[in-house]
Amino acid sequence: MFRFILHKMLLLIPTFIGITLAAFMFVRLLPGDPVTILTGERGVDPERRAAMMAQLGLDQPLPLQYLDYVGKLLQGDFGQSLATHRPVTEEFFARLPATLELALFAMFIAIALGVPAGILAAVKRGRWPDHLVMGVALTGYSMPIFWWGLLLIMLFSTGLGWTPVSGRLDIINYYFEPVTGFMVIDAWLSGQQGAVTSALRHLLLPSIVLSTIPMAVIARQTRSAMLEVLGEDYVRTAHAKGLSTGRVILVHALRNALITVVTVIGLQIGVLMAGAVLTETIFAWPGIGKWMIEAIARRDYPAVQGGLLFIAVSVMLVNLIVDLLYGWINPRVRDSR
Amino acid sequence: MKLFDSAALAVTWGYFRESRGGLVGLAFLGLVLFAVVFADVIAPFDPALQHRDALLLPPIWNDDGRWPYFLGTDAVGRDLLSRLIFGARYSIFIGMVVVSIAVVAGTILGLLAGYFGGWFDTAIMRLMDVILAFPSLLLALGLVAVLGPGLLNAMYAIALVMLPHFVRLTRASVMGEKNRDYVVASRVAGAGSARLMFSAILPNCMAPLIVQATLSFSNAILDAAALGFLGMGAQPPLPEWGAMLAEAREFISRAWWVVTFPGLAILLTVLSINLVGDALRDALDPRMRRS
Amino acid sequence: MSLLEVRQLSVSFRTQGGWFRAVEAVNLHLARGEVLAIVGESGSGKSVAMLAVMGLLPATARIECERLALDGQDLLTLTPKARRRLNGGTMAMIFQEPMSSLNPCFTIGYQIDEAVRTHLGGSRRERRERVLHLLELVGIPDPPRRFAAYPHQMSGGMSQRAMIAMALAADPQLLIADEPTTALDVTVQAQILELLLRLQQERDMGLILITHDMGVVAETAQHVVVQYAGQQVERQAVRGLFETPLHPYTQALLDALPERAPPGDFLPTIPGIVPGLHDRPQGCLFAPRCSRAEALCQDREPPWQSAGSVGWRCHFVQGDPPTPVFPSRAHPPQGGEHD
Repeated sequence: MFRFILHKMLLLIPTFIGITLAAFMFVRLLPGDPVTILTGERGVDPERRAAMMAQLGLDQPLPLQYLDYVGKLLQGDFGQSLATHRPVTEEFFARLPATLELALFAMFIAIALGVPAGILAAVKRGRWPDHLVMGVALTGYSMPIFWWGLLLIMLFSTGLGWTPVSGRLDIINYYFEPVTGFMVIDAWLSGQQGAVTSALRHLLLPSIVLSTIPMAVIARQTRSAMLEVLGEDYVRTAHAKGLSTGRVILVHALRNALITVVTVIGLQIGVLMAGAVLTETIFAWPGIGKWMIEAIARRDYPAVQGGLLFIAVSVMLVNLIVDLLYGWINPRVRDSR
Repeated sequence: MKLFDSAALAVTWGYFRESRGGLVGLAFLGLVLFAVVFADVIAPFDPALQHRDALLLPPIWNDDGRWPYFLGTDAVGRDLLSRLIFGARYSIFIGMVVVSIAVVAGTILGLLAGYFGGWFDTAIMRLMDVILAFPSLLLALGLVAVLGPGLLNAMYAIALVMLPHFVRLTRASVMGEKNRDYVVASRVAGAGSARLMFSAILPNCMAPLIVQATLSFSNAILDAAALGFLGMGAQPPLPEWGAMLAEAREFISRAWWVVTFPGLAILLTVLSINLVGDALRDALDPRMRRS
Repeated sequence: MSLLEVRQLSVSFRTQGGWFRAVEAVNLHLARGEVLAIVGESGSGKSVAMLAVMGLLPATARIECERLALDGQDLLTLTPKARRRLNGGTMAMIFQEPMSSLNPCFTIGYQIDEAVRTHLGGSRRERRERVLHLLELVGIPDPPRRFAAYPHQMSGGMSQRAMIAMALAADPQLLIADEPTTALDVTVQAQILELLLRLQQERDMGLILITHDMGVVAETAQHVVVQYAGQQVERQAVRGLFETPLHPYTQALLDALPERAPPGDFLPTIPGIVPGLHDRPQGCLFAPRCSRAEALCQDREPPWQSAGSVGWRCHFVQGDPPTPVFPSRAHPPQGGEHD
């Protein structure tokens, strides 16, 4: 088992190198003067320019620059944001909890609704529940989610007034110091009346919007995995044993189908990150996505570079975890060397 | 070199016809393509024309609506329906170009990687892994940040993001077919590598390629619209659907039609492509065929 | 005392090309402690008929039956819940592919325990003891270790033993075995068959053995039913079947046995193939392949003729008209003794 883990991790090293290389090349591919790009200072006189180039290591040969860059990365130095002059790492981690909270809620909704929907569609194959679920799922992943978000805001926020338009909390009425960065937890910790409800109400629409595509994909994949499993011999044996239909479907069939579905769920993390960019923009959610968009618009290249790198590495790590999880769940893979 | 054999096409069409969703999707796509080709003729107005006396008019079924602004007008008086019709050109154009680039480049790379193997194969696959490590929209955004916002740059970015899917697909097919008897036989008979790859192996990979191409087509349209919405793709005043939505954001409480219709156009177009893609996949799937 | 009574059982499936009749007018009687063999080629409907008895067919199947009774209890009027209680309880079934018939995600101990839990109940310790006892009964060595084993860690023979253990969990009165040895090695086949027979005798269980192997029939059954293309074509006691087969198909099956082949000659085969959905003959279904067929056979469906407990579906009676196809030996093969 340990060897399995090690093997998987070793495979990631070339990809990791590739990602850092891509990030490294990113800034150097930009048109224009690297000094301006990296420091944001324009119209610098030659002496100062030379000093800055030396300081940034820009006078070194390219391979050395790369190694220098990776070295800094491994020490946690991702550069400085041009907009705020703070370390990119600091900016990133300050906003990470917001995106994580949103992503977790969205994933929860996607799984809680997607898996049962897929099971229902598989069990009632060919009949109207199947067509309904598949139709909704198809619409779900054909949906431009930035429009979907706007539509929901139009309906529920400005229209019916049930949900707030933007932000994470009703800051007029509530204020507390962030502890974990997770608004729901912090609200609960603050003890203020109605704070948790406010946090949840703000979380509602964005999570629904963000969960739409993963939910659709999960529903479809669960359905096809279940259909395949339901045709297997061991399901027939379970029926022959006299087990209740519910038990056959939810214990014997689902357990096997989940093996595939877990991988799918893991792959949706990347989709979530992409969706987060759009969702956070629409709902003015102060997370990583919104920060990246602003950084691009402001030409804050160190921030863009650092942010992309962080996100790519996180996605890679999540995929690794999913791979390992898959190996653990599937007894056949577990035992093979 | 026969990639498409007419008898096989007829059989595939026969199966495709059985899917109601596929037919509906195809019909709507036909409509969209018609709009793309004949936009100049069927659109009531020039999409860039601003009517100062018809600002922010609702659709005609609303009391305040006015003929002939069927779907209403936007904040500077441009007819929404005309903009939607012309906007179809951008979405379809982007989709086709992006998929074409990705398919051609991806297939060639995949064929080479799968056929020759070795370090070349490893290098290409690692490169594809790197591309796949980034969430697609974010990578496209990053590339656009480097290249500068604009329609063309957005297309290159999206094409690059889609590339790995085709490379992987073709490579997997090639590796599956490489050691089959008919390939070995051809090689023994003296067929050169290029000939083998294109005339023997490629036709057998067509089915999954077509299905993936349809899926990528719909994703390309979504990504392009997303980039347009974020201001990184098509720039205003181009009537691209995503860019139209970006302009519409401030009007969600005042003018629901400027927000609803462009997004609806995207949804319906992507939905029809996906319907066609699903039906195609079922039609091409050998397991579903009845002998 | 009648354990299983099946009268005029028919099963049809809805397919793209219309309704396909997989089983037609099957009649069965099984007394307690009796062994019945159902023989036939693939496509004869032998498995489908038994799956219908167990209620394991998918919803797309249409089942018509005059009477279906287990130990006197009418199965046709039972609620699905009551029917389920019988499955694994009073009647049990084991299948052809033991490797894929066990759920790969759970240990075999867990799966057998499930059967015990559903039908017998009891505390955890009691159930575990019963499972271990069952494993020992079917000849699995080192039961405590196998309890925690996964199906993919066991061989084919071992898996089938585990399946048998699972089937016996609640002491069923009837065990249906659908080609239990077909997927196993030849050496293991004999062991499993012997196990099944021994258990059957010890427990005085009714055993229905579905097989395509006439040799197996000779060694195990007391009564035999022969099926062809969904229909029953002969029913006899085993000795009578081998000595005087009443239906040309049975005759042909016996003639095809290597033991009966005349020395130095080609092994006889039955020309043609079993009719499928689209090529069902008008009259007798076997007529196209029957060496004794006449015009009558192609025009009219043959009636079921019976004399006592013996029956066959043919227009003619054995020996009339007298044109044997292959020189058949008059004595049935004994276990181990061949010419």
